[in-house]
Amino acid sequence: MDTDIRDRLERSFGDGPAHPPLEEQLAAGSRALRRRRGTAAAAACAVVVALGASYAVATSGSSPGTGSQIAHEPTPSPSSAAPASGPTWEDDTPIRYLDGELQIRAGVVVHERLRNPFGNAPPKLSDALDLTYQGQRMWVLAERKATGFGYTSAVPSNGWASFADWVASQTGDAAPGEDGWPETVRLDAGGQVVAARGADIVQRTDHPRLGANFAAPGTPTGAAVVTVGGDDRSFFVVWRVVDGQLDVITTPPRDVVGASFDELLNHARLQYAAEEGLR
Amino acid sequence: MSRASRDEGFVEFVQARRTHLRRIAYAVCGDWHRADDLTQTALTKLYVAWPRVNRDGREEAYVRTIIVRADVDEHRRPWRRESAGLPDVERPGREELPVEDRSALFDALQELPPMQRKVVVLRHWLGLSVAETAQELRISQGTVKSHSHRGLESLRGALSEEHH
Repeated sequence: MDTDIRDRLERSFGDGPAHPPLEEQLAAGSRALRRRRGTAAAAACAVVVALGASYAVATSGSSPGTGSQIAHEPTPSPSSAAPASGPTWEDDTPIRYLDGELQIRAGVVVHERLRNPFGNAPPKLSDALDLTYQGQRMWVLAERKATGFGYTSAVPSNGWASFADWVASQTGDAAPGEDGWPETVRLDAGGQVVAARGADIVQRTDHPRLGANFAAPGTPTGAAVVTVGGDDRSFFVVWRVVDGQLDVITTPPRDVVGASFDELLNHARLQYAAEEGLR
Repeated sequence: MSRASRDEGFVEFVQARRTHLRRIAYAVCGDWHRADDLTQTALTKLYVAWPRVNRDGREEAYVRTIIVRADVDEHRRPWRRESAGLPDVERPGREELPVEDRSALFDALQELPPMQRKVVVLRHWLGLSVAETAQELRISQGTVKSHSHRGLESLRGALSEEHH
């Protein structure tokens, strides 16, 4: 049957539409490589940048980067945008591009901005912003291309350890599954959930009773408080094994301080019962 | 490795294998737009890692792994609260696609649960061993066997219909 089904699967669909130009695929790789090198360089001088940055978001100060590197601009304190000039703001968006520049809507508070995360060459633009708009904290990724204004936003979530990790996952700079959190638990060869290398499970239950919104009945689940690499900080994690694959949801250390294991479990149960979850 | 050398090797590989790699992406996700995105993401990562991956001769396996794992990860985020774009914001355009050339078997493949579908694609289309499939999908060999058994069973109906 194997050869038979292999042939049938091979013939079961075509080759699809035309490929994007090869030059574009090469250019995307080349930009990613420059971003990787630029990020490494930025990390090396992060302290200097933090001391020297005086970043205020305003229309006049947001000209696009000329290169393809990420310009990481830490903000000592959140900055409120100055009133944006230009035509009336028609869309319900906190940002827009106008005349080749990023504009921030009046009243928007920008906490952090990553310049040109896609590594676009001018006149294409891109920006990633951690901001508050109408009282809602948002992570925003915007791109200005010849064909229009692309815009993606997410509610800051424990799905990623930081804003930068979210941006990396969206731009393809992070490997699949990389979310910035340290590895706390893993599946061993027998399919059991055990502490990851370098991690210690402080408290654990394999019956967290997180409900059907977390996992279907019969799904292996668990919860634990874990320390990693001798770090004083603890992570509260919950997991489910779906289709033989371990899915771990991590809660940041700041939410674990001062809470007992039972309190953390109760909080998790309430979050899933309310269909909010922990991510 | 010089940039010219990297570019030359990368372009040669992409020219030779991109149709096959995008078909793998399409087989696991069932949508040509998403398959394009998956393939582009994987090829971009390949370019960055080219000297190491090319030295080991693992280019195709490297890209394939990223494709199947990336799609797996998309299915693993039930609590991902995210919106892609706003209704009144102009979005980058997509060209119209030609009418799909796909059989009832392919439709049946798409109806399988995601992990079953990936196991069938890797084991029974691409010919990976149980151990290789388990490693690729980061699941146990026992899980590969059970998914493979159930997946093939589900496809038998479509196969018999094609015979009639």
